[in-house]
Amino acid sequence: MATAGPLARSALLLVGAVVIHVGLLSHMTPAGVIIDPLVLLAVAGGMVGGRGTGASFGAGCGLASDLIVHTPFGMSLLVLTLVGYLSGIIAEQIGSARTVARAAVASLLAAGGIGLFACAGWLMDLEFVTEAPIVRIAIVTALAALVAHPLVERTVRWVLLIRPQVSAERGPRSPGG
Amino acid sequence: MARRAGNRRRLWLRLGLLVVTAIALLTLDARGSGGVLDSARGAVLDVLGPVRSFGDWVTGPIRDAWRGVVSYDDLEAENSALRGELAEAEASVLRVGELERDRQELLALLGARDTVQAIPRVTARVIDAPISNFERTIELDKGHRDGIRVGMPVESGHGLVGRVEETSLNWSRVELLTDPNFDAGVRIVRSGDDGLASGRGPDRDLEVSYIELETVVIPGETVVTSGFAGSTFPAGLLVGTVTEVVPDAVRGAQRVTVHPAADLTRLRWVQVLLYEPDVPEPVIVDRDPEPEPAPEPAPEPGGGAP
Repeated sequence: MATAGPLARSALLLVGAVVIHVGLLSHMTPAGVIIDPLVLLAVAGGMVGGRGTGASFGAGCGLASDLIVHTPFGMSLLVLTLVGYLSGIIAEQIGSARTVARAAVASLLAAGGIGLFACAGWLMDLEFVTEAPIVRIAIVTALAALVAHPLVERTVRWVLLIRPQVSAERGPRSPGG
Repeated sequence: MARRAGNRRRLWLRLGLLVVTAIALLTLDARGSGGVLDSARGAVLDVLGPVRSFGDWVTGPIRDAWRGVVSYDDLEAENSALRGELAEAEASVLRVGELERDRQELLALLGARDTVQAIPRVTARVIDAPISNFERTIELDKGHRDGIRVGMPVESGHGLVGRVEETSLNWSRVELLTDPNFDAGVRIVRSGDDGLASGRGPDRDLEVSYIELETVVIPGETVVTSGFAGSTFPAGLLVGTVTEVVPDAVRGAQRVTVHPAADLTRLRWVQVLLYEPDVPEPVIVDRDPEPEPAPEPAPEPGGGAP
């Protein structure tokens, strides 16, 4: 039951993210860019759960993305798995940084995820990926991650049943409490 | 220490497994053996179809209002340009009507059939949103259930839009004619020369190759589909107009650039032509013919029934 909880919640979160993506975000395109919530979730999964959980969470996001986006099947799975894993590694480096700092890191990772996707498209010789306005997509995705990361991170913590670490902005607690 | 090394190994193993799975799926998809994967994707998009339509319905007014605020000047300029076009169109209606009558009479005289007009069509709404930034296709709210099949031509009121690339029960995806993978046999109407039109990416005109150097092609000429045997397009669908002609002495041909007649950025409704090309029937060669029955012996004279 202890493991079924996060799994069921993760599935619910992924379904919710896909519905929001398809029903809302794909119709609202700031600067002509569709904000992909699954990239933000993969980053948050890694930052909250560490590299192992990040890879699995990213894989779930990638699989969901592969099921709705007409890119080669497995491409999003590959990219978002790596994004989740790398996010976990970076999160281990920054530890319990301030919320703003974590959001800034998340935004860089989200932009990096777009870059990684473009690299994968270039390796696979996919013109529709390489000819897309990658820089614009990366900037808008990074801005979206900067704004949304605190909420996304909180949601992922709830899903993975991980309590928030003591933030550096609150300062270390005294031994006496 | 050993526990930490074990943890690290497990993490690497997990990552490795996921990466190998992804590569296996990519390989399956690239080899074209991803029938199950395509079916799964089609089923998911079928389920999400109403969500997308609902999202479009909800966000449509907001988007329109935002567009009105942000690009008011552009809309005003476009509006006045459209008024001008409408006036021109009204003036040419009579002339076109006469020409159409003449054409029908000529077709009747020749005993020919106006194939393009005779093809049944399905009108479909464009689901106004690709799901990803990396998609260069449009999706329609009609699919297999309405008779739409892969390869069928799609056109707007102005001209060819593309061809159906994938279809599911009540949804289909259209490859636009500007897609780098798109090509179609075309004919330059005035000279009658045939060539191959290929897409060159979004917001770029098509390129028509195999037009001989001797052929005189003038910018502004109309280009239609040629409808060669086996082509997925019937003859006579409007593709666009010639914008540029560059002789290529090395290839011994001209490079003709064609601007699509259909405005691919503002598609709301399209028509799918329920056209399936006539595939020539295969000639069946009987390698092992049955022996012909021996001719019955002629009845002997006077050897009738008793």
